[in-house]
Amino acid sequence: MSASSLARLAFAFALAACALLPAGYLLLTALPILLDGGWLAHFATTSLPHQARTSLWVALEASAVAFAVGAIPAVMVSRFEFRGRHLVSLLALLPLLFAPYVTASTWTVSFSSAFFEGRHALAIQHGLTCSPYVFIVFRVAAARIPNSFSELAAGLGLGPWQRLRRVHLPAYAVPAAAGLMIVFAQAIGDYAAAERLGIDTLSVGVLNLWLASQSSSVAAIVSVVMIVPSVLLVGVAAWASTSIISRNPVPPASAAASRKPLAATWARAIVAWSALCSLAGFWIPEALTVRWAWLTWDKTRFAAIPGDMINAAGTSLCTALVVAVICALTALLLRSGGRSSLAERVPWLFLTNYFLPSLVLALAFVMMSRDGSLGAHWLGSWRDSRLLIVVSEALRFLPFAMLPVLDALRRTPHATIEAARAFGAGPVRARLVAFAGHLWPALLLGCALVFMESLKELDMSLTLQPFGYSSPALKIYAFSRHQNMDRAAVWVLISQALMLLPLLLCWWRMDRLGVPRSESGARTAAA
Amino acid sequence: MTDLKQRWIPSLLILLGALATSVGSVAQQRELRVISDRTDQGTLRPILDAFEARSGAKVIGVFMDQGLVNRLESRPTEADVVITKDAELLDIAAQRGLLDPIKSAKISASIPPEFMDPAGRYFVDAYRARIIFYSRARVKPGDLSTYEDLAGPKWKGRICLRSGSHDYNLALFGQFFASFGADKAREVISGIGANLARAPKGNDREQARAIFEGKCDVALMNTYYHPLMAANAEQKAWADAVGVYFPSQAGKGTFIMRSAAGLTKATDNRDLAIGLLEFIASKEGQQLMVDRTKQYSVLPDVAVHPLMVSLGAEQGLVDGKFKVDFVPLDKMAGKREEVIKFVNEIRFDAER
Repeated sequence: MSASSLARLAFAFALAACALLPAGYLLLTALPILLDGGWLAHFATTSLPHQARTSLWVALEASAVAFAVGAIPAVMVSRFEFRGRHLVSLLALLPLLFAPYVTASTWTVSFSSAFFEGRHALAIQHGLTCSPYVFIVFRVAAARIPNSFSELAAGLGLGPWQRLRRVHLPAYAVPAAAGLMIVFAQAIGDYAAAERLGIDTLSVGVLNLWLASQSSSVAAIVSVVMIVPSVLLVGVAAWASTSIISRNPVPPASAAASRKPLAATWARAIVAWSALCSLAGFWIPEALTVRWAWLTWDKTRFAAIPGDMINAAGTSLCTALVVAVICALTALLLRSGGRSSLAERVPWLFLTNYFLPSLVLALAFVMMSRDGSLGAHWLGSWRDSRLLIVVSEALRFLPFAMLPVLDALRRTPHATIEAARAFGAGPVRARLVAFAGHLWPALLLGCALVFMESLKELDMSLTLQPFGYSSPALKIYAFSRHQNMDRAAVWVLISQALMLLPLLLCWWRMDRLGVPRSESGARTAAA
Repeated sequence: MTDLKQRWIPSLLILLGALATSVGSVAQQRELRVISDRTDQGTLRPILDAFEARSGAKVIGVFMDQGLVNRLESRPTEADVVITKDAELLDIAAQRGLLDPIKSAKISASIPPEFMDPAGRYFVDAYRARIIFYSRARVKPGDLSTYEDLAGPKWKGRICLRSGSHDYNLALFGQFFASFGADKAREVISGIGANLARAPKGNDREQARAIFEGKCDVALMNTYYHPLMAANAEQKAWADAVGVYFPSQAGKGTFIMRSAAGLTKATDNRDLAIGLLEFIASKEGQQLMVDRTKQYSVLPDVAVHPLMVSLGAEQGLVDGKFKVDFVPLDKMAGKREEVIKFVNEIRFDAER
């Protein structure tokens, strides 16, 4: 085995260890005491089956909402040319500006109908929250599927339904699976929104047992019921993504070049649909938030705003940078192009951390860094900084950048690197050049998403905060606990202001997807 | 150009390092570290501000209402003082060896013995009662009597409550176990659960709102929510729609919830930490506590807050004073686990 192969192997193991560290730690903690106190048996025989069923239903309903709101506009934007395409992309991404627990609080404070407190409302909430991700996943996938497949099938005499079944549905299997993973992880792992609405989901059950008992051991024991299925599911997903799903070498340009014009009626319908969905996902909660902020302007402690903004932006930027560094190292050190099970499968393990409720992840970090532990020893005084927030958030949100990077790696033929080497470039420079087309845009998009998620994240900031730490998310939480969403409104707007730039970046990227290079160049020249 | 591109990795690492370095703050003055499950924005800050003004020290905190004991267990010396809205959590912390005895003659002299941990590791700094809030429009005070009565059939589908797993209800149910005995307590908790109008959700204020909106007729809430809601323009209508009733006044009395403060194992700032605790236990600190939190002071000579005086007048209470069914915290030791499992067993929080 060559030195470079050994280095790759070592890096792959390091990645796997990082990815599974929190879950592995909780499992190792729980295993020796799994049957102590009868907590596992108690949980399994009382609320667990009902809570698991509720979580499953919420996740399924949320998936239906997310696909209706995100996937349909994504496919239309990718496949057709119509007036309002850019607007549809923007409307689809706007729900990224709200954390689900904020919208859940906004809806319940503003409206008293029982519907807004029910299971269906929670599912809609999660569906709307995840819809931008479903949009992005489908937008990227659809930009690569050329119309010629469908035209070929039509030429062979297949009717519309047969084409849907035999061409379109298989082509969208990958983004559908990825979208489902995201929605299920969000819906099953969420605690804040479900607890706010009083829906007895699995994560609420697990965390209530922990918070009520105030026992790390109980938390570790009951977390096993979420960790084991998560790791198994992620393992299957990693295997499926690399073994079943074929690589699609068709460049985006060929799909874009064949984008068809859409009839005006359909165009109006899709714009109206996107606008309608964004009403619930963004405009109504945003209007309420702006109104509250206006009404409570005089009660706002403006002196705290700059510090909190710097804190939040600093933490999120560090999180995004850590993610970027890990992704870049993955790209540089693991083999690109041709099949490499290590390169493709190991980073998927990070998805496990997205499936776990963020409070469980935070608890793992609290336990791992306890006094006298190796973690505390290694971290030293860094333990008392926001480093733990950054690391835990990076582990949780890393899939948002890592999976697009893996996809980009798959589409970068190894021959490109070899050619660059043949022309005299060093190993790093050869990769930088080879990845320029696919990988860096994917990494940039992923890091923008990580930055936004990190800004909205609450549980890890709450549990791992260093002394004197404050952020808009903590302020929003503090006010919303007492139904004072009006006082929280200013802080919601501040966090949205910080998210504006990455949101615009995502919009620009989504808008640009599938634009042939020549057209893009012409646009730039014209500008 | 090539050089520029090749320099991006070190530049990135330098930027990362600079950002991370900015994380630490440089201590300029003496700092006292407080960990609490209260919020920085709310009731605690004025007390801390007053102590800062008096001592010249800066009080910095970690304010987290989830997993407080776990964090303390993980880092027993990172904070000097721990302040909690639920004394039962401090009792758990004390049992796990996370607190040091408070050696202060001032505190021993001022805090009544029933509000002091027998081993002196924490003291109760204030308390509130967990009472019945009822719809003025649909319920008469004469319809109400005891906690046990809420388990009866006449309240079927008429009760609202926050999660049975929340600290407040665990503390209440734990007192049921200690005061009524396990069998009776199980019967009462099951009965209340069966009478809920909807799945337990939200916090205490949301139960008052549900009464205001006609979703239910009675709720179990803490006393201070009435004046706090009345002072909030958005929530005043909820406060106006509900009356308060102190249960079991003809019997053993009403159960209370206690907030508390204690000393961690950290020793660097022991004098400052004891100073803060002494301030909280002083008449000035207690007055601030009453003014800000609308709780009842543990000092007999600190009067009930004016907005609390009228509570219970409809049932004949005078000056807001009521009979307490006092359950010492050490008598609730071990009950919490039993309560948690029972609440889960009867699926108290399930959808209805």
